[in-house]
Parts: sequence; structure tokens; C-alpha cells
Amino acid sequence: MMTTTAAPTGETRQIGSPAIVARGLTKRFGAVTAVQDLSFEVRPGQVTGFLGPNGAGKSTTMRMVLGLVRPTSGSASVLGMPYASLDRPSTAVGAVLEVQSFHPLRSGRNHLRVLAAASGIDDARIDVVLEQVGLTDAADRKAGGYSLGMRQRLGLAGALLGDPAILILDEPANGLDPQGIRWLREFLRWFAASGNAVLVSSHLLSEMAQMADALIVIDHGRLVRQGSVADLRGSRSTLRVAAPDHAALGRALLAAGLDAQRDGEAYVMSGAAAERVGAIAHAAGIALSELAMQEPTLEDAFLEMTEGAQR
Amino acid sequence: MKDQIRSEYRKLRTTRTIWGLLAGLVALSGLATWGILASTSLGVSAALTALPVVVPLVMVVPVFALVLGVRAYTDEARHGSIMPTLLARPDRRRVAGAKFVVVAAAGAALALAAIVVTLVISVVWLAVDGVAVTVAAGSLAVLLVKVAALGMLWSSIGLGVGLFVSHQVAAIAGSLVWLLVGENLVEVISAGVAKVLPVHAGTALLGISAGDAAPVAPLVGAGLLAAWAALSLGAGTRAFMRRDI
Repeated sequence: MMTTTAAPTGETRQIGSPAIVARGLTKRFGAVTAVQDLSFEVRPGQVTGFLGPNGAGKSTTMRMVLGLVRPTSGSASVLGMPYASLDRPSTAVGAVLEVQSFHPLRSGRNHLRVLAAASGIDDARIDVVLEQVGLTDAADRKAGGYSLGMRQRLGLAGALLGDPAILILDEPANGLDPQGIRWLREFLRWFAASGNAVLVSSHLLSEMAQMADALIVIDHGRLVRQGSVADLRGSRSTLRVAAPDHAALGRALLAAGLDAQRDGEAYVMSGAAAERVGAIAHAAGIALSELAMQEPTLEDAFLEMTEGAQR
Repeated sequence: MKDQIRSEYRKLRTTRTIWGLLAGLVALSGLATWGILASTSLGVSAALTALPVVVPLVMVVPVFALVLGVRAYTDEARHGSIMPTLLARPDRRRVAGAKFVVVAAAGAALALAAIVVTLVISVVWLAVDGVAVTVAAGSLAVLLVKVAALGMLWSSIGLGVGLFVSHQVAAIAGSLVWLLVGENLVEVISAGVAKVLPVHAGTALLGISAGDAAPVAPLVGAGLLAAWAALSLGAGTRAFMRRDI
């Protein structure tokens, strides 16, 4: 069931309707096609991970969504309209696309004052976002002296100035220490749980597996898959078994009709119960050194998808 | 537009660029004034607005105003702050318009600072030398307006160049080479063509001849310089609007 609400921009949007929609986005830089016929949706209430190898077209796509790069063809809309048509875009979307997007001789606070003025946001909000990202103590220092993690936090503070309904972040975990990454993950989870939408790209697949609800995977500018993390990761777990006498173990598994793949000193198979494999080894008099169920990882799925797309 | 102008004003105020340019302009204007007064005999009386100390301003003001204008955009392109600027205000024409308002005002202020320093040093120097200085309020006001217009128009030309070229070093080096060398070369080839070019138009605006050829009238010079500023801003804004960031 859809209900309507007033979006921070003053436009009326439907809860449940996509926050971001891309349709047939294509971008060519001369002879190079960076993004090709890319379509996807980002829904509110979710953290949507944007995955792809280096040069896959993630940053270009985000810039097209935000009106910074003009698509060769196709279109993107935010809360139902092109980004450039939003009345007060900072209250609709907060975005961080580069680690450094500030004058190095300007203090963090003054950088935010510049952005607040451009967006018509009261300066009182600056202290709130500085506190939110944990940068209050360094706010009056020149931003050029910030560490990588502090630069990320300053970028995020700028994105949060307008209290937006959507966050678009390009590799926000770069440069953050483990505490910072955990803070970011919890913040984005909270932000999405409040009914907002998050589109975040990252190379840290394990981090993405913990953070994201949905994933968009692209490669060579094309969509490879879009779906929930669970869907993309797959449900097929595998069993890994090893023995000091791995040749005997291989013969026993083969004799039992199991399709086991050799993986170094071990065998890996899917669709077999650990109890059955243990019984086979016991019956053959083979002592096992390892018997473990392995859940599919996002990394495995990602590599499989992107390598599949390249073939 | 008001919000964006406020933002551009804050950008200008919160780095050292404007203060560095102001210090350089004041220092150079003061040095030039001192040099001219030290090497010129002015007799027993002189009209303040007719003093030769005004002459160096036709080059000093354009150089600093041009750099101010170029940096208003290229600083943002260089440091990446153009991205949050455009995310906050995606209408690029408005962003360019707000930059124009602030840069033109700052260019005029820089130019006024230069002429004030020049005139104050002159008055003090001449008073010490016992030269009677006459000041006609009307001609002083006209001189101040002309110098302010010179700063405003050259900073606008600089902004247009910055928006068009985007790369800071290329924009500053290219425009300074034109300012200091380019027009002189054109003048060697054709004095008639050189008369309508920006440096010559600026000198004509102040009622000074830049070369052998007689300058155009000050109002014509102002019109020509304004046309160059409009052309530069138009081309720069068009390039800025089409550029992928």
C-alpha cells in the first residue's frame, strides 16, 4: 500500500516508490563507453550497495544521477524528477563523491558555512552535523591538514547539512579506521531504517555484506545483477572436507557418487550433508583433518558475477 | 540567487587569496607611486587626478583583478569544491552569475584600494616636497569610478577565462602572457586593431595612451572593455554549463 508524504524538497512523494530511478543511462567519453544502457532503482528504507570493479562506471553513474555529468542517452530521476529540477536539492540528497572537495586553506567549519549559505540552510545546523560526524574539535582547523578519515567525515557533514532523504556516497569507507567504518555502517543502517534511501559504492565487500540490504552490481558500465544481498550471495552452502590421505578420501567420495572438486589439499562439494561425508570417511577408515560447512560469501558471488560478465 | 551570492562571498572571505592579492596590489601600487614621484619634478603645484602616478595602474590593476577572477572558478575546479557547490545549486548559470557579482565587486574594491594608496602616498610625498596639490572633487570622483570600473571589468574577464579554461595554471599563465606581451605584439602588427583590444581599451578608459596610436575616447574604451568582459563571461559560462564535473 502506498501512502504519500511531503518530501523535504517540498515535492510530494510516495513512500515505497523508488528514491532514485535510472533508465537506460549511457555515457560515452569519445570512443570509450563508460556506462551503457544502465537501469536500476534505489528504494527508501534500504541501504543499496553499488558494486563493480575499478573502472566499472560507478562514479560516472553517480555523477549522472546528480546532474554533474551529462548522459549521452537515458535519464535519471531523484524523488521523481531530474536532480537539477529539485527546488532545494540539499534537502533531498546529500552526496560525497570525492575524498577532497574543499579548499585546503578553508577551515572545516567555513567549508560548511559556504555550503549552508548556498543551500539557504541556517548556520546553526553546522554544529549539529559536526557533532554528528565527530568533527567538532577539529572544525576550526584548516581542512587541508585533516587526515583522510577526517576528510571523509567533513564530506559526510556537508552531505548531511540539509537533513536529506537520500545519501549517495562513493567509497565513503576509504581512509576510515575500524571504529570509523563501524560508525559509518551503524549510521547508514540507522539512516535507512528511518525511511531514507542510501546508495553507497564500496570495494569492501565484507563491509557491504554487513551494511547493505540490496545490491546493484555493474561491470564495464553494464548492469550485471540487482537484488537483495541474500539473493545475490546465493543460498547454496558448500562442504569442505580434508584428510591427511587426500587421495583415499577422493576415491571414497567418488565411490559414494559425490561431485567433489579438489581445492588444494581439500575437497569442496555442494548438496552434501556433513553427516553423510563423515560416515563415508569413517566407513573407509579415513581420518579427517577438516569437515566444515561454508556459507557463500559476497566476495565469491561478486567475483563469479563480474568474471561471468567478462566472459 | 541571493543565497548563492552569500555563499560566493563567504568563499572569498574565508581563504587568503583576496588578502594576498590586496597586499600585492597595494605594495606594487605603492612602489610604482614612489618610483614615479622620486623621478619626476612636478613644480610648485599639481592637480591630484592629473598626476603621472595613475599611469601604472593601467597594468597593475588588470593583472591582480584578472588573477582574482580566474581563481574564483579555477580554485574550485582545482580543489574539487565545485562539486558540492553544484550539488547545492545545480543551476550553473546562477552559480556563474553569483560568482560574477562577487568577483566584480571584489575587483572594483581591489582597484579602489590601489588608487587610494596611490593618491594618499602622492599627497603625503608632495606635501613633504612643498608641492601644492589641488583636488577637484568632480574629477576625483570620475577617476575613482574609472579605476573601479577597470578592476570590475578585468576581474570579470578573468572569471570568464577561468570558467572557459578551468585549468588554473593554464588560465593564469595564458591570460598574463596576453596581458603583458600579446597585445604589444598585436600593436606592432596593427595599431588600429590593438586599439580595440582589452589592455588598450582599459588604458583608454583611464584617458591614457598605451602606445603610439591615439587612444579611443574613455567612454568608448569602457564600452570596448565591457564588451570583452561580456564575451569572456558568455564563452566561459557556456563552457561551464556543458562541462562534465
